[in-house]
Amino acid sequence: MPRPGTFGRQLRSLLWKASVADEVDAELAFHVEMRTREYIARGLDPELARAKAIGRFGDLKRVNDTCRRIGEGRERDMRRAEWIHEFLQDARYALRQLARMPGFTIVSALTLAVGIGATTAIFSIVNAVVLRPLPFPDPDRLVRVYSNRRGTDGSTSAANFVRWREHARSFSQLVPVEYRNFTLLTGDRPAEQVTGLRVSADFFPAIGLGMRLGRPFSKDEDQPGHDNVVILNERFWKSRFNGDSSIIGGSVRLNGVEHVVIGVISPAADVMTADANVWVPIAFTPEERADSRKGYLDVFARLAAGVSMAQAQSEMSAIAKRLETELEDNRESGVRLASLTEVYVGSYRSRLFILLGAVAFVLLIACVNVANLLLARGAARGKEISIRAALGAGRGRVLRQLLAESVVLAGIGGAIGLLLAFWGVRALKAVAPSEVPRLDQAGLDLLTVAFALGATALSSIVFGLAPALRTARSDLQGALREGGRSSSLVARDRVRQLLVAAEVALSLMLLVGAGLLIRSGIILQRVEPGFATARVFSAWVALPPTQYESVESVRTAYDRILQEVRAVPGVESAAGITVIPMTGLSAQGNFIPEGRSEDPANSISFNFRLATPGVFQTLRIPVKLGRDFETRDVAGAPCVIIVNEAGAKKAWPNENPIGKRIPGRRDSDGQRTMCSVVGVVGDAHDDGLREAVRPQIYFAAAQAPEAFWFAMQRSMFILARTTGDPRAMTKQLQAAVARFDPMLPIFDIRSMEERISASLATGRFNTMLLTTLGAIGLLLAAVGIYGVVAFFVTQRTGEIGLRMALGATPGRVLRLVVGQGMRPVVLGIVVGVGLAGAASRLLASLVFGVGTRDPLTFVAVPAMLGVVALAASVLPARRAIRVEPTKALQS
Amino acid sequence: MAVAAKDLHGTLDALILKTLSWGPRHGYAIARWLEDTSADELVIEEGSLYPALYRMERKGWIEAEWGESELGRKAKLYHLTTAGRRQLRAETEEWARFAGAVSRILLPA
Repeated sequence: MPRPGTFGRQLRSLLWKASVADEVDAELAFHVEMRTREYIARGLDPELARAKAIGRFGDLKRVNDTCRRIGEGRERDMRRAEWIHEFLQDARYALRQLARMPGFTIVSALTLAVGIGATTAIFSIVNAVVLRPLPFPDPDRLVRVYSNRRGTDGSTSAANFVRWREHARSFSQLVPVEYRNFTLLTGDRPAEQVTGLRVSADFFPAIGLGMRLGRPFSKDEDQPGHDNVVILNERFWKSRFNGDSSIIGGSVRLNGVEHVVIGVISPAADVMTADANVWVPIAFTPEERADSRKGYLDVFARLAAGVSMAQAQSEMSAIAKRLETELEDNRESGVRLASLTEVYVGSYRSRLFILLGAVAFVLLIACVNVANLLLARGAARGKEISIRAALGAGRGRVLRQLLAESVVLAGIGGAIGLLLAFWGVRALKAVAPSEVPRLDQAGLDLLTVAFALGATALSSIVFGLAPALRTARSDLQGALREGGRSSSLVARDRVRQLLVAAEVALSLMLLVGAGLLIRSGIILQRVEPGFATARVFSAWVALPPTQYESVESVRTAYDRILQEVRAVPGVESAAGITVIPMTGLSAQGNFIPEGRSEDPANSISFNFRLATPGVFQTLRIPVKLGRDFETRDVAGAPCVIIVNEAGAKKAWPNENPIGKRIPGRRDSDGQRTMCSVVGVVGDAHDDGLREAVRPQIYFAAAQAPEAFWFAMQRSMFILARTTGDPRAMTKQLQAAVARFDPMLPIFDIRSMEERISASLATGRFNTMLLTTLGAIGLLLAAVGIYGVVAFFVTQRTGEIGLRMALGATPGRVLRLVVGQGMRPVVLGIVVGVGLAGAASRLLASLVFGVGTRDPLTFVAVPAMLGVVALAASVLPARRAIRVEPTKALQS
Repeated sequence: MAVAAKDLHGTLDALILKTLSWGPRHGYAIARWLEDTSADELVIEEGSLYPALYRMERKGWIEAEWGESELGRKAKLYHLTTAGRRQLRAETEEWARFAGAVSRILLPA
């Protein structure tokens, strides 16, 4: 039966619509008529009078339209005001209702708050890291241009770059970047090692990077001889120069050469290179331009107007094809383009979206739980609703009222949730691995708050609509007659059971995900790194090329540094190596074993290192065959190499690798030096515990040609095995290096144990988050199951009493009730296992050592969930068997 | 020389409100009253008058209902609301300030 009020309002609004237009017509017609009379009275001919009256309006139709538009606008305002008024009324009533049931309200609001808060916190991170565009103009036009050999992206040689820039028409700008270490000297402090970049003058306009202070490089400064200028990174300027703007125009020494500070770069640059502290012009020398062997440039570009990525790619592929033969050492050098956004945030997208998905599950479980609670309450409120309906409230009105309660409830939950999100984001930022770009920008910004509001509104519908529909539809007269016990109990029970099944399925999926990651973590912990991490000190030293230009000076320098380090009391052994495990650094080289054709298929990609004698002893990498490097392996002596077992197996399967030869670098006269294998060492996990061991090749540092040292920027890691805690010896070891050259900075000082632990941080973070979410899901599901069984027991007290009066044993009753509770759980587990089997594939890139359908996880998780569910239904069921038959029957 | 009321920035609203402060009137009566009172020095253009009335109705300064006109015809009669009276006071003060300032410049003592 439609409520008269509603009907009246609808009727009026129907009439009203026509009447705004009619009203305007009538009003203006009246005016015209009055004016016409006036003119007639003044003696005008009636027709002329009327024409003149209308003429006074100018364009009558336009005036009419304007008035109607304003009039309709007023109508809309009024309807909105009325709607808000009614909503506030509903909300006030809803608040009173909720206040009357504090237990229900607190539990539901907190459940929702956890769901909304967690979802919002994760969203805020997804937003900051992945969704936000890069802080440059038109960021989707920016691309990274890789040299690509046999499917592996790499750096580009200057010769290649110069020709790309000459021929390519697809880009408005194509700019080179070289990562470099500098020794910085300011006069007031000892020398320090800083990381920096060499970039071309057009780098800043190409990317769209502005200056915080000062100016970018001019074209003239991008020429050798005029390039003694430097731009500072903002953070470095603040930390090292106290943000003093008078530094502009001042000078500092970089690698021993005076440089004028001309600017401070905008912090937007941090997305690309947070640790590039100093920027200098790249100013290619003629020798650099001609060099096609050394790939050390990272190339960036901005697509020209109207050029698509695919067009640019095909142009560059064609150019690369031509250059393969045109340049020396350039065979198989392809080019691959990637969008800059993809390069910087691409790898985080899938991982973070998995987390967002997982946390959305938690919110969904929370909603299902509240829906369950509302259903139970709906049953109890049958009488109240019936009375209101009997007093004339229409179904629509009752529905609106019930939905208003949901909205108010979700609003409370959302408000607390925002607070939780605020703390959550802080906590996540504190524990997240530091490598995640732009994480520090995560916070409760406008978009995140809007997201929380959206999540709140959506959840109020998700959990509120079904119960409200059901409650509003209750059989009114039946409910009144039965005094509150509704006859649609069975149907309602079915909905509640389905909700529990859904909840179980959702939390099972979460827990399977968490389980797979936990298993991966355990397996990862057991992986032997292939070297001993305890008591090994490591630090990086880079020799400035201005002071250590010749290969001899580099060799002597490292010799002397290591001598000093070995002399420190407490150092058992020390050695140098260009790349140590777990730094994330990589240096690779392709080599074809002697005796095989120059066919690229024969070439083997090795992880490539220069090492001094004693490195294997220091890192406790076992020498399996042959020998370590020795002091006799110097320049002039036969070239020697050492490979790891994986490399030996790959290059010389089923053969004794000792004595086998590999061509090293070409000499100046174009001849390749052959290097013989003198030793085979154990496999070490260089690229992280997750990665398979790659073939490794070690060259004797004392025999390495200049090109090798150039590729390594004349840098080495100094390793020292100590008798005590290596971190406690940092000062002495620094002093030892300083005894050789006080200007020589040493940096990235860490124990090997710290490096391993850092390399596992991301995995641990993912595991921790997913496990937390899984645990919340499990808890909520358990609460849901408890609620359903408890409700069942309350509703069936009479029936249970009857059964017991008729002789049913407590055990039978318990089985009946628990069975009732477990039925949806079993359904949920079956469905959940199926869904988890499909969804776990998303985790393929995160798991280690287990399949995404790891049988142990898929058995253990459902079993655990089953046990928790059983406990959650046995607790309330025990109340059923304590029912006194007589009392139950009386009630 | 007759002046179109719309030429005087923002004064049409004030004039209408002032007219209505003597009691409810329909649109034509407002126009006539203003013309008569200003001895036809002010020409009220219908093209501005009616949109102004509708706008002020939307703002809640005036309200309207249909009633009998003096000739026994149905006419839309406007009357001031409390908000409208407040607005009239504000606009009158504003006008006095404006007129004073203009006078001081154009008619120096």
